[in-house]
Amino acid sequence: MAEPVTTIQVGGATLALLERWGARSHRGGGDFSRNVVLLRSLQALRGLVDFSDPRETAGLPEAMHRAGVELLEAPWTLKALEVNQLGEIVRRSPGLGTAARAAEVEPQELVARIAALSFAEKMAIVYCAIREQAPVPAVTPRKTKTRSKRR
Amino acid sequence: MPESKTTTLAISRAAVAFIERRGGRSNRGGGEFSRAAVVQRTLMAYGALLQRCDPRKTSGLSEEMFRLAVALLEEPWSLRPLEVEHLGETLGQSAGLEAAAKEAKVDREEFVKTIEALGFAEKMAIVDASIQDQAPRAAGTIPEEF
Repeated sequence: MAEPVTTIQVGGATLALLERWGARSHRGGGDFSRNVVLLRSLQALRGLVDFSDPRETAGLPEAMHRAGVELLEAPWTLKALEVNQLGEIVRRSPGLGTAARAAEVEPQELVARIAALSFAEKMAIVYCAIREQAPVPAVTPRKTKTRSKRR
Repeated sequence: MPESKTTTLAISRAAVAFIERRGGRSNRGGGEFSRAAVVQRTLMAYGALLQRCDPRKTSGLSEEMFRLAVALLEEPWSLRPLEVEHLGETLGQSAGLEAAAKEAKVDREEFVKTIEALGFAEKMAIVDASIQDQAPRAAGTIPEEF
């Protein structure tokens, strides 16, 4: 099973969610250690998003999908209610006209197609946008140890 | 959001990779893309997704069929995406299906077909309900290791 490599400080909300899925403090690992439940949840979300790609599940054309992904600003800030209203978010986006033109579709049609998707399909668009727009972690150069010359 | 209780969580390389792919980075000062923030955001999104994909609400799945599916899954936390995708088939192979379906007054064939026809997210919501039912009990039976 996955060996822990680093630690993070998490708050009560995160803990409560993990505990809902059976996680508990367990130094020896096992099926319900917090690390394992966290990894399982992350993998489940990835599976959920992959299997809910609206290009495959709802026949959303690639160009419309691209437009939807690119129109979302700071997609990681979207709350569940906003994801549910993704058509409305796209409709209000200042770049809608340009994006719709690039996708060779009427703006209203783009909005309507996205609004008609299921919650999981909308979430798949949001996660695609997050993966594309979230900052790439900077690689911190390792500090080289310099020996101090003591006499 | 003010957090009353915090704890240190050990995370694996795979989890770090997932988090980094979504912008997470080591950042002791917190911030929008600290690993902890990305983890919390991701788990909350996952929770919201499951809640909104309950097939009783989205596809009119009957309470009896939902309960039957939740009860029949064995070790639901161990299911792979392919098994979830074919949840009807997975349940169809369950040893206890015949008796449980009879008791719930549900037609076995119709049950398998109805579950199989659900979307992936709806099937995942069933699996999650089953995990929430069974996981705490299962976790409690594992002895602590010191």
